[in-house]
Amino acid sequence: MKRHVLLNALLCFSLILALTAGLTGSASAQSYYFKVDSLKVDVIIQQNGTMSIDYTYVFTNTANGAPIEFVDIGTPTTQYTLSKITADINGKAISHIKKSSEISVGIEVGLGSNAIQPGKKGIVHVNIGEVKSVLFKYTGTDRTDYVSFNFMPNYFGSQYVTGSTDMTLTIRYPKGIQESEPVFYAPQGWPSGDVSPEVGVDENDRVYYTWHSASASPAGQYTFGGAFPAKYVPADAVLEKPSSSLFTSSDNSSFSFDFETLFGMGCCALMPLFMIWSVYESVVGSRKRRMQYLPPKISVEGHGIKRGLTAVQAAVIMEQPVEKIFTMILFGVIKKNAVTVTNRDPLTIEPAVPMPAGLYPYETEFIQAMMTLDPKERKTALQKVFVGLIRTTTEQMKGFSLKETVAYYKDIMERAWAQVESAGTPEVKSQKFDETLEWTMLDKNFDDHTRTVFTGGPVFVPTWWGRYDPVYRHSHSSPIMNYGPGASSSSSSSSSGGSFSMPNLPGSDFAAGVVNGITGFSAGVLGGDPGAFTSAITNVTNPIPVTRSSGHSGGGGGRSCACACACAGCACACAGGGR
Amino acid sequence: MSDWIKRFLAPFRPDEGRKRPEPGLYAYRREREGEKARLHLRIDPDGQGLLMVNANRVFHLNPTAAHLAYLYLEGVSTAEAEAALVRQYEVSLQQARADVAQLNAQMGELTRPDGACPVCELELETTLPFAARPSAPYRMDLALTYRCQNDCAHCYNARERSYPELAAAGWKQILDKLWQQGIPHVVFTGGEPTLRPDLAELVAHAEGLGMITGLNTNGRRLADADYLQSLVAAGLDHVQITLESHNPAVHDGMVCARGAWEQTVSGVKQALASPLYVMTNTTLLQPNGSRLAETLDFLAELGVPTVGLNALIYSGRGLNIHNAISERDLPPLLETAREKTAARGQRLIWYTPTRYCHFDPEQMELGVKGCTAALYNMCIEPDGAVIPCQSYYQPLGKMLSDPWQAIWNHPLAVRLRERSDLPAECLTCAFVSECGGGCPLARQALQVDPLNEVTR
Repeated sequence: MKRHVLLNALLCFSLILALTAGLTGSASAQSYYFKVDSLKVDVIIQQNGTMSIDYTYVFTNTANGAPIEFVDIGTPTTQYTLSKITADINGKAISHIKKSSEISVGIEVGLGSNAIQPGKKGIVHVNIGEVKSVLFKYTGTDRTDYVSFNFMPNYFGSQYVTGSTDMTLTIRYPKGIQESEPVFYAPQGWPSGDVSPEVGVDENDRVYYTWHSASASPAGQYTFGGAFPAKYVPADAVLEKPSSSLFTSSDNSSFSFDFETLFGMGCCALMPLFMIWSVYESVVGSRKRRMQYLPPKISVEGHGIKRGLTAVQAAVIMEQPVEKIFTMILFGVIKKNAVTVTNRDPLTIEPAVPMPAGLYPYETEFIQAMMTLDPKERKTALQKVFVGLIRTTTEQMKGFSLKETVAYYKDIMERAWAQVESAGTPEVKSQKFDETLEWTMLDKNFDDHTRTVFTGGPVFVPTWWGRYDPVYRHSHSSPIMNYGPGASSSSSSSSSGGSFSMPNLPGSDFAAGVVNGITGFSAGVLGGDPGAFTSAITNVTNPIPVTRSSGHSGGGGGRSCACACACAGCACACAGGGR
Repeated sequence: MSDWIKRFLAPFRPDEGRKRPEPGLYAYRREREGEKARLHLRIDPDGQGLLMVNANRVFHLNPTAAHLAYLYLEGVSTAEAEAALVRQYEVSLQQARADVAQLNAQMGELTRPDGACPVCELELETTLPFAARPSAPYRMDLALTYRCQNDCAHCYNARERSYPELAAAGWKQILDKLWQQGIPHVVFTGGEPTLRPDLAELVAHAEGLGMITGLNTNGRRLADADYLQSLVAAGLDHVQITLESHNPAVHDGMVCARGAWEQTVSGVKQALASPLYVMTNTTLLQPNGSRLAETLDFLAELGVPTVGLNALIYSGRGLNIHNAISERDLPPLLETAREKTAARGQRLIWYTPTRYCHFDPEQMELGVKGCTAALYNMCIEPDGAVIPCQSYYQPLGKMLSDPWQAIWNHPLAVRLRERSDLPAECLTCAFVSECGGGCPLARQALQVDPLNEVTR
């Protein structure tokens, strides 16, 4: 009678486990909806008295189902060894094999990047190599010296599965058992009318029983069991009754119980307690279900690199010092023959009459600002120029990646240096240096780099140098060397006129001339405090966001953000004109 | 209550509103300090999200971002969002705090009509243009009727005017189905949709679902203030009115309807005086192209905030007209348009997908323009047939009777989406991802090597 109670208790426990699994599913995976096309379960009772279980699931996720990211497999007891469990998805090994955070007694396998997506099929194979404490002393009167076991295969909450399952379950007994020795229990809940299994001996000389049903339910709670002579397994592998440790909750909480006491109270009294605990465990388990975390990421269709910026605009997005950017503008307008520096310290310029064509708006505004006589007003005017430059550049950058664009212009700068450095003669080197000056100036180490490149050799200064350096202009009046026609006057190409003047300057002096121009601009024009100058600018360009009132709502509304159209995801694309 | 009881009961606390959202479409309205925004969050079955702001800015969210965006839009507090992350994902509280803070800041900007540029300021990851493969388009055009008071010589409509039309009940069913598929934006078009007496009823139904609604019209019926008010009252969000020229004779000549200009301009004025977001559209053809500057001046005087321009669509009558402006001749016109609209603070929208080797809209800072048929937008004909776009008259299936997947994955839809029919020359072009070979209809009509365009 006691054997009967124990087996029943074990059965009760199995059912409760199953219930737990079902409740857990309801709490954690509301949108799961999948089919289990087939399930093959191989249960082997080993000679050492342990049980190994092999599951092969063929899942088909429905189009509306959430991705199957984890599969929880209940185990008969907690006495399994994680290191002896292997799993794979579509033949790819699964590394995430842990004690389940979802069900009380069992494991979870995380499919990770191989999660079965909606509408997709996946084959999940799990081999649980060793589960201990699964055999119990047979206490019935019809046989002596037998051990028995029960097994309920894994199943899923009925609300998450659809369709039927082609299911095959095989129980293999320890080697050496003769065909006439083992017995099986009629499976409970099994859909097939004939509960008699196929009986045979496998290639490893194990007697086996196989049940098959083409119409099993993936939510079916089927109980299988059997018994065999105790002599085929070690005595210490056989339990008199379930140990409380077997049923300790998976989070190692203090909840445990003494079976002697509990069974003394009677199984009926035990059941409500089990139920409450199971529900509690299912909720706790769901809270503990923690999905694989991918940092949140928002992306937008658009462009990477904004091409076509001038070197000055590139300097803006590269956040070069303001005095350097102004010096770049100054060099630009000098090279275009738009101004001549009349005094370096303090800096004063004289505009050309008439002004050449092809000036950028910020160049024209710069010249106008520099013509302001009052230093304070000039500083304010230059701030406006810079604000305008930032705003124009920002507008052009909308929809483009700042990071990639900066990298692009940095690459242009490096290639500009490479052109200079690879030149074979001082003349060509100087020519290249002149042609690419705007871009090489983007180099944070422009000064040192220039000195290094021109070490031991002169820089043949370009013709415009005289318009920049009044002292030089007065001491050198005749251009001597000409390196050919065709040079463009654009700010991103070579110098106007394309001719070099001689004599030359040592590279270090030339570099110093450029750098001194930058520092001179800072001291003479910006008042020696570019930080204050910049602060006044950023107060305008980066104000605290102020919401605007549009009074409109709905599609097509909002501001005229260039980004909205630069981003191809914009739904205004081809919005039906042409009528 | 003692701590252990609290701990015991903690798992039973309601978690509604903090879980990963169910697949579907969630609509929100944001109104703060004078700003109004309509937001739609589409959650796909795989957890991926799509955030649409005013139906014209689209952002793609990975499952975690979609979850957090949902919590943000639902008004869940930062602390609760952090707790939800920790509870539901394998993530430390520190990481969760950082990620929630960053995503909330991003959402704050993205959901503002005047928010920061997502790319250059927020530095969101950019993906290639037209690389997204959504589960449904972002916008569905609903050609309620092919009837029209105008008779444009260049009209792309390829159907007879008496084409069968669904009744209002059928269109309502379609709207319901579109919402179920996660499509948040519909544009009523035609033909001339204002000829349908039930237009306001359909607008109201769509708005009731949570959709953003628009109207493409010749504007003539909008001259009737009461009629316009009925559309406004129904909740219509935006209207696009076709105006071909500032010159009545040119406009009337192009639309082949005497007196049309008067009504259309009156309609524009009425619409501008309403709460609707108003834009015009002008098809650039030889009759009106040469005087585009004057037309733009006229639109500015009217106070039109957004000006749309497009080239000839090679469909319907557009196939047989001979006054198109070739793609190579477009740049000076668009340059004029850009300068004039910029000077007046208007927004310029260029619609036509062109071959970038002929006309590069990016160089002209008009944005990336490529064919989005059967990708970001589709159209439903008056009888309920779904077509790739409102000019591409090859039905993919019936919206009321065919499964959406069959329509969406129709071989033609897939070919257009995947740009399977590009000429070999395009495949090696650096701009192919943006350009996509221009308009497929133009390619078919012109039947030329895209590098050697011939204007018919």
